[in-house]
Amino acid sequence: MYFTCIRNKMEQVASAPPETGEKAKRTVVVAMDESKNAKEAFIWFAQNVYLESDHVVLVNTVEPYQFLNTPVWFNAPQQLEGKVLEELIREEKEKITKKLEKFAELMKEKKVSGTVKSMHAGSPGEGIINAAKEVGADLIVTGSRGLGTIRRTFMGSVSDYIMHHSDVPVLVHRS
Amino acid sequence: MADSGSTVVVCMDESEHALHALKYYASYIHKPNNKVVLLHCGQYVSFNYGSVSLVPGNPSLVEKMINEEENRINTLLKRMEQELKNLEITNGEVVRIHGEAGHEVVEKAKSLNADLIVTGSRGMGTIRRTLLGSVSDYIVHHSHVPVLVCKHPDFHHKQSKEDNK
Repeated sequence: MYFTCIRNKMEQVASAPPETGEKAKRTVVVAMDESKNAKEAFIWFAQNVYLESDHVVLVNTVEPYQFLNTPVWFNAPQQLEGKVLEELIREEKEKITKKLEKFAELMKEKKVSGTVKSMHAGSPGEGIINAAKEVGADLIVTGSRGLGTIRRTFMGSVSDYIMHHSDVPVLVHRS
Repeated sequence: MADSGSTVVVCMDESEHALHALKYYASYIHKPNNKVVLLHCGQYVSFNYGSVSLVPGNPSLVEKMINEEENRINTLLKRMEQELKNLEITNGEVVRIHGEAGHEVVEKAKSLNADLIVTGSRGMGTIRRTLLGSVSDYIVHHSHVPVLVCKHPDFHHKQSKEDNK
Protein backbone atom coordinates (compact mmCIF):
# COMPACT_ATOMS: atom_id res chain seq x y z
CA MET A 1 0.00 0.00 0.00
CA TYR A 2 2.70 2.42 1.07
CA PHE A 3 4.76 1.84 -2.07
CA THR A 4 1.71 2.16 -4.28
CA CYS A 5 1.05 5.57 -2.78
CA ILE A 6 4.61 6.68 -3.41
CA ARG A 7 4.50 5.34 -6.94
CA ASN A 8 1.22 7.14 -7.61
CA LYS A 9 2.70 10.35 -6.30
CA MET A 10 5.73 9.96 -8.55
CA GLU A 11 3.57 9.21 -11.54
CA GLN A 12 1.51 12.25 -10.78
CA VAL A 13 4.57 14.46 -10.64
CA ALA A 14 5.96 13.35 -13.95
CA SER A 15 2.73 13.44 -15.90
CA ALA A 16 1.64 16.81 -14.55
CA PRO A 17 3.28 19.89 -16.02
CA PRO A 18 6.11 21.00 -13.71
CA GLU A 19 5.56 24.10 -11.63
CA THR A 20 9.11 25.30 -11.54
CA GLY A 21 9.79 25.10 -15.26
CA GLU A 22 12.17 22.17 -14.92
CA LYS A 23 11.13 19.01 -16.69
CA ALA A 24 10.69 15.91 -14.58
CA LYS A 25 12.48 12.82 -15.86
CA ARG A 26 10.02 10.72 -17.88
CA THR A 27 9.56 7.03 -18.42
CA VAL A 28 7.96 6.39 -21.81
CA VAL A 29 6.39 3.09 -22.86
CA VAL A 30 6.22 2.51 -26.61
CA ALA A 31 3.91 -0.26 -27.79
CA MET A 32 5.79 -2.32 -30.36
CA ASP A 33 5.04 -5.17 -32.67
CA GLU A 34 6.56 -6.01 -36.02
CA SER A 35 4.18 -3.86 -38.03
CA LYS A 36 5.25 -0.91 -40.11
CA ASN A 37 2.76 1.18 -38.15
CA ALA A 38 4.47 0.54 -34.83
CA LYS A 39 7.88 1.32 -36.32
CA GLU A 40 6.61 4.60 -37.76
CA ALA A 41 5.07 5.53 -34.43
CA PHE A 42 8.36 4.92 -32.66
CA ILE A 43 10.36 6.88 -35.25
CA TRP A 44 7.94 9.82 -35.07
CA PHE A 45 8.23 9.79 -31.30
CA ALA A 46 12.04 9.65 -31.51
CA GLN A 47 12.18 12.62 -33.88
CA ASN A 48 9.52 14.88 -32.41
CA VAL A 49 8.80 14.12 -28.79
CA TYR A 50 11.76 12.20 -27.33
CA LEU A 51 13.89 14.09 -24.86
CA GLU A 52 17.35 12.90 -23.90
CA SER A 53 16.30 12.68 -20.27
CA ASP A 54 13.56 10.18 -21.17
CA HIS A 55 13.88 6.53 -20.27
CA VAL A 56 12.13 4.68 -23.08
CA VAL A 57 10.82 1.13 -22.81
CA LEU A 58 9.73 -0.67 -25.97
CA VAL A 59 7.08 -3.17 -24.96
CA ASN A 60 6.01 -6.14 -27.03
CA THR A 61 3.04 -8.18 -25.88
CA VAL A 62 3.12 -11.91 -26.34
CA GLU A 63 -0.02 -13.90 -25.88
CA PRO A 64 0.70 -17.05 -23.90
CA TYR A 65 0.66 -20.37 -25.70
CA GLN A 66 0.54 -18.63 -29.05
CA PHE A 67 2.67 -21.45 -30.41
CA LEU A 68 -0.29 -23.74 -29.90
CA ASN A 69 -2.26 -21.86 -32.53
CA THR A 70 -0.54 -23.76 -35.26
CA PRO A 71 -1.79 -26.33 -37.79
CA VAL A 72 0.49 -28.95 -36.17
CA TRP A 73 -1.44 -28.79 -32.91
CA PHE A 74 -4.90 -28.55 -34.37
CA ASN A 75 -4.50 -31.35 -36.83
CA ALA A 76 -2.90 -34.04 -34.74
CA PRO A 77 -2.84 -33.21 -31.00
CA GLN A 78 -2.77 -36.81 -29.91
CA GLN A 79 0.48 -37.40 -31.72
CA LEU A 80 2.26 -34.57 -29.98
CA GLU A 81 4.55 -35.62 -27.19
CA GLY A 82 6.85 -33.90 -24.75
CA LYS A 83 9.75 -33.50 -27.13
CA VAL A 84 7.68 -31.87 -29.87
CA LEU A 85 6.15 -29.46 -27.38
CA GLU A 86 9.59 -28.63 -26.04
CA GLU A 87 10.72 -27.90 -29.54
CA LEU A 88 7.76 -25.63 -30.18
CA ILE A 89 8.37 -23.72 -26.94
CA ARG A 90 12.04 -23.35 -27.74
CA GLU A 91 11.30 -22.04 -31.22
CA GLU A 92 8.81 -19.57 -29.75
CA LYS A 93 11.38 -18.29 -27.26
CA GLU A 94 13.88 -17.85 -30.07
CA LYS A 95 11.40 -15.92 -32.14
CA ILE A 96 10.64 -13.59 -29.25
CA THR A 97 14.33 -13.03 -28.51
CA LYS A 98 15.00 -12.19 -32.16
CA LYS A 99 12.07 -9.77 -32.14
CA LEU A 100 13.37 -8.00 -29.05
CA GLU A 101 16.83 -7.79 -30.58
CA LYS A 102 15.38 -6.13 -33.66
CA PHE A 103 13.62 -3.59 -31.46
CA ALA A 104 16.84 -2.93 -29.53
CA GLU A 105 18.61 -2.32 -32.86
CA LEU A 106 15.93 0.17 -33.81
CA MET A 107 16.39 2.06 -30.54
CA LYS A 108 20.14 2.21 -31.07
CA GLU A 109 19.68 3.38 -34.63
CA LYS A 110 17.46 6.26 -33.57
CA LYS A 111 19.74 7.05 -30.61
CA VAL A 112 17.03 6.47 -28.04
CA SER A 113 18.19 5.26 -24.65
CA GLY A 114 16.18 2.68 -22.78
CA THR A 115 15.21 -0.98 -22.76
CA VAL A 116 13.03 -3.52 -24.52
CA LYS A 117 10.53 -5.68 -22.71
CA SER A 118 8.31 -8.58 -23.52
CA MET A 119 5.00 -8.94 -21.66
CA HIS A 120 2.66 -11.88 -21.38
CA ALA A 121 -0.98 -10.91 -21.36
CA GLY A 122 -4.34 -11.97 -22.68
CA SER A 123 -4.48 -9.10 -25.12
CA PRO A 124 -1.90 -6.67 -26.52
CA GLY A 125 -3.64 -3.70 -24.91
CA GLU A 126 -3.60 -5.33 -21.48
CA GLY A 127 0.08 -6.10 -21.89
CA ILE A 128 0.94 -2.49 -22.60
CA ILE A 129 -1.13 -1.13 -19.71
CA ASN A 130 0.39 -3.67 -17.30
CA ALA A 131 3.88 -2.80 -18.50
CA ALA A 132 3.11 0.90 -18.09
CA LYS A 133 2.03 0.35 -14.50
CA GLU A 134 5.04 -1.86 -13.81
CA VAL A 135 7.64 0.62 -15.02
CA GLY A 136 5.72 3.67 -13.85
CA ALA A 137 5.28 5.14 -17.29
CA ASP A 138 4.52 8.84 -17.66
CA LEU A 139 3.60 8.59 -21.33
CA ILE A 140 2.47 5.80 -23.63
CA VAL A 141 3.14 5.86 -27.35
CA THR A 142 1.24 3.62 -29.75
CA GLY A 143 0.43 3.32 -33.42
CA SER A 144 -3.18 3.15 -34.46
CA ARG A 145 -3.00 -0.20 -36.23
CA GLY A 146 -0.69 -3.12 -35.92
CA LEU A 147 -0.55 -6.83 -36.47
CA GLY A 148 -3.60 -8.46 -35.02
CA THR A 149 -3.62 -12.18 -34.45
CA ILE A 150 -6.21 -14.00 -36.50
CA ARG A 151 -8.85 -13.44 -33.86
CA ARG A 152 -8.12 -9.78 -33.52
CA THR A 153 -7.55 -8.16 -36.88
CA PHE A 154 -9.94 -5.41 -35.91
CA MET A 155 -8.34 -2.10 -36.71
CA GLY A 156 -7.20 0.01 -33.82
CA SER A 157 -8.45 -2.18 -31.01
CA VAL A 158 -5.13 -1.99 -29.18
CA SER A 159 -4.78 1.78 -29.31
CA ASP A 160 -8.44 2.00 -28.33
CA TYR A 161 -7.89 -0.18 -25.26
CA ILE A 162 -4.80 1.76 -24.25
CA MET A 163 -6.55 5.09 -24.55
CA HIS A 164 -9.44 4.01 -22.40
CA HIS A 165 -7.41 2.32 -19.69
CA SER A 166 -4.36 4.52 -19.36
CA ASP A 167 -3.88 6.84 -16.39
CA VAL A 168 -1.24 8.84 -18.19
CA PRO A 169 -1.10 10.75 -21.50
CA VAL A 170 -1.25 8.62 -24.63
CA LEU A 171 0.28 9.57 -27.96
CA VAL A 172 -1.53 7.80 -30.79
CA HIS A 173 0.42 7.91 -34.02
CA ARG A 174 -1.62 7.81 -37.19
CA SER A 175 -0.20 7.42 -40.64
CA MET B 1 9.83 19.03 -40.17
CA ALA B 2 11.55 19.43 -36.83
CA ASP B 3 13.81 22.24 -38.13
CA SER B 4 11.23 24.52 -39.64
CA GLY B 5 8.82 24.23 -36.72
CA SER B 6 5.67 22.14 -36.63
CA THR B 7 2.08 23.25 -36.52
CA VAL B 8 0.27 21.96 -33.46
CA VAL B 9 -3.47 22.09 -32.91
CA VAL B 10 -4.75 22.05 -29.33
CA CYS B 11 -8.45 21.44 -28.63
CA MET B 12 -9.69 23.78 -25.96
CA ASP B 13 -12.84 24.16 -23.95
CA GLU B 14 -13.35 25.56 -20.44
CA SER B 15 -12.53 22.31 -18.74
CA GLU B 16 -9.50 21.66 -16.56
CA HIS B 17 -8.70 18.72 -18.82
CA ALA B 18 -8.09 20.99 -21.80
CA LEU B 19 -5.97 23.39 -19.81
CA HIS B 20 -3.92 20.54 -18.41
CA ALA B 21 -3.37 19.20 -21.93
CA LEU B 22 -2.14 22.60 -23.09
CA LYS B 23 0.24 22.92 -20.15
CA TYR B 24 1.56 19.40 -20.67
CA TYR B 25 2.22 20.18 -24.31
CA ALA B 26 3.91 23.45 -23.42
CA SER B 27 6.17 21.81 -20.83
CA TYR B 28 7.24 18.64 -22.58
CA ILE B 29 6.66 18.87 -26.28
CA HIS B 30 6.64 22.48 -27.40
CA LYS B 31 9.59 23.76 -29.35
CA PRO B 32 10.09 27.51 -29.72
CA ASN B 33 9.51 27.64 -33.46
CA ASN B 34 6.30 25.60 -33.34
CA LYS B 35 3.10 27.25 -34.37
CA VAL B 36 0.34 26.54 -31.87
CA VAL B 37 -3.32 26.93 -32.78
CA LEU B 38 -5.93 26.67 -30.04
CA LEU B 39 -9.25 25.53 -31.44
CA HIS B 40 -12.44 26.21 -29.58
CA CYS B 41 -15.82 25.07 -30.80
CA GLY B 42 -18.23 27.59 -29.32
CA GLN B 43 -21.42 25.95 -28.14
CA TYR B 44 -24.56 27.60 -26.90
CA VAL B 45 -24.83 25.71 -23.66
CA SER B 46 -27.75 27.36 -21.95
CA PHE B 47 -30.05 26.58 -24.84
CA ASN B 48 -29.83 22.92 -23.96
CA TYR B 49 -31.69 23.43 -20.73
CA GLY B 50 -35.01 24.07 -22.32
CA SER B 51 -35.52 27.60 -21.09
CA VAL B 52 -36.02 28.79 -24.63
CA SER B 53 -38.72 26.26 -25.33
CA LEU B 54 -40.69 27.55 -22.36
CA VAL B 55 -41.10 30.87 -24.07
CA PRO B 56 -41.57 30.13 -27.72
CA GLY B 57 -41.67 32.94 -30.18
CA ASN B 58 -40.12 35.57 -27.94
CA PRO B 59 -37.40 36.89 -30.20
CA SER B 60 -35.97 39.44 -27.80
CA LEU B 61 -35.41 36.79 -25.15
CA VAL B 62 -33.68 34.54 -27.65
CA GLU B 63 -31.56 37.45 -28.82
CA LYS B 64 -30.60 38.20 -25.24
CA MET B 65 -29.56 34.61 -24.64
CA ILE B 66 -27.50 34.56 -27.83
CA ASN B 67 -25.70 37.71 -26.78
CA GLU B 68 -24.95 36.27 -23.36
CA GLU B 69 -23.56 33.11 -24.93
CA GLU B 70 -21.44 35.12 -27.33
CA ASN B 71 -20.04 37.17 -24.46
CA ARG B 72 -19.25 34.05 -22.50
CA ILE B 73 -17.46 32.52 -25.48
CA ASN B 74 -15.52 35.68 -26.24
CA THR B 75 -14.37 35.91 -22.64
CA LEU B 76 -13.20 32.33 -22.88
CA LEU B 77 -11.31 33.04 -26.10
CA LYS B 78 -9.56 35.97 -24.44
CA ARG B 79 -8.62 33.77 -21.49
CA MET B 80 -7.09 31.29 -23.91
CA GLU B 81 -5.02 34.04 -25.53
CA GLN B 82 -3.82 35.05 -22.09
CA GLU B 83 -2.92 31.47 -21.33
CA LEU B 84 -0.76 31.33 -24.46
CA LYS B 85 1.09 34.41 -23.23
CA ASN B 86 1.50 32.90 -19.75
CA LEU B 87 3.05 29.79 -21.27
CA GLU B 88 5.38 31.96 -23.37
CA ILE B 89 4.18 30.52 -26.63
CA THR B 90 5.17 33.20 -29.08
CA ASN B 91 3.75 31.87 -32.32
CA GLY B 92 0.28 31.02 -31.15
CA GLU B 93 -3.28 31.94 -31.98
CA VAL B 94 -6.81 31.16 -30.87
CA VAL B 95 -9.30 30.15 -33.55
CA ARG B 96 -12.98 29.61 -33.09
CA ILE B 97 -14.62 26.87 -35.10
CA HIS B 98 -18.27 26.10 -35.63
CA GLY B 99 -20.16 22.88 -35.94
CA GLU B 100 -19.64 19.45 -34.51
CA ALA B 101 -16.51 19.64 -32.37
CA GLY B 102 -14.72 16.40 -33.27
CA HIS B 103 -15.35 16.63 -36.97
CA GLU B 104 -14.45 20.30 -37.22
CA VAL B 105 -11.20 19.85 -35.31
CA VAL B 106 -10.05 17.10 -37.68
CA GLU B 107 -10.99 19.17 -40.73
CA LYS B 108 -9.30 22.30 -39.42
CA ALA B 109 -6.16 20.36 -38.54
CA LYS B 110 -6.08 19.08 -42.12
CA SER B 111 -6.49 22.54 -43.61
CA LEU B 112 -3.79 23.97 -41.34
CA ASN B 113 -1.45 21.08 -42.26
CA ALA B 114 -1.05 20.35 -38.58
CA ASP B 115 1.59 17.86 -37.48
CA LEU B 116 0.03 17.00 -34.12
CA ILE B 117 -3.31 17.34 -32.37
CA VAL B 118 -3.37 17.69 -28.59
CA THR B 119 -6.52 17.07 -26.60
CA GLY B 120 -7.64 16.35 -23.06
CA SER B 121 -9.34 13.07 -22.34
CA ARG B 122 -12.61 14.63 -21.28
CA GLY B 123 -14.23 17.99 -21.50
CA MET B 124 -17.36 19.62 -20.20
CA GLY B 125 -19.59 16.64 -20.89
CA THR B 126 -21.97 15.64 -18.16
CA ILE B 127 -21.32 11.91 -18.38
CA ARG B 128 -18.53 11.61 -15.87
CA ARG B 129 -18.21 7.86 -15.83
CA THR B 130 -16.70 7.62 -19.26
CA LEU B 131 -12.95 7.30 -19.37
CA LEU B 132 -12.68 9.08 -22.65
CA GLY B 133 -14.85 11.88 -23.99
CA SER B 134 -16.71 11.65 -27.25
CA VAL B 135 -14.73 14.42 -28.92
CA SER B 136 -11.30 12.97 -28.07
CA ASP B 137 -12.57 9.57 -29.12
CA TYR B 138 -13.71 10.91 -32.49
CA ILE B 139 -10.47 12.77 -33.05
CA VAL B 140 -8.28 9.75 -32.37
CA HIS B 141 -10.26 7.60 -34.76
CA HIS B 142 -10.48 10.10 -37.58
CA SER B 143 -7.35 12.17 -37.39
CA HIS B 144 -4.79 12.04 -40.17
CA VAL B 145 -1.96 13.04 -37.87
CA PRO B 146 -0.68 11.87 -34.47
CA VAL B 147 -2.91 12.70 -31.50
CA LEU B 148 -1.76 13.25 -27.94
CA VAL B 149 -4.51 12.48 -25.43
CA CYS B 150 -3.65 13.97 -22.04
CA LYS B 151 -5.11 12.53 -18.90
CA HIS B 152 -5.58 14.85 -15.96
CA PRO B 153 -3.77 13.14 -13.07
CA ASP B 154 -6.14 14.23 -10.29
CA PHE B 155 -9.27 12.99 -11.97
CA HIS B 156 -7.83 9.71 -13.07
CA HIS B 157 -6.07 8.87 -9.86
CA LYS B 158 -9.18 9.62 -7.88
CA GLN B 159 -11.14 7.33 -10.14
CA SER B 160 -8.78 4.39 -9.73
CA LYS B 161 -8.75 4.85 -5.95
CA GLU B 162 -12.52 4.63 -5.93
CA ASP B 163 -12.44 1.51 -8.06
CA ASN B 164 -10.13 -0.16 -5.57
CA LYS B 165 -12.47 0.38 -2.65
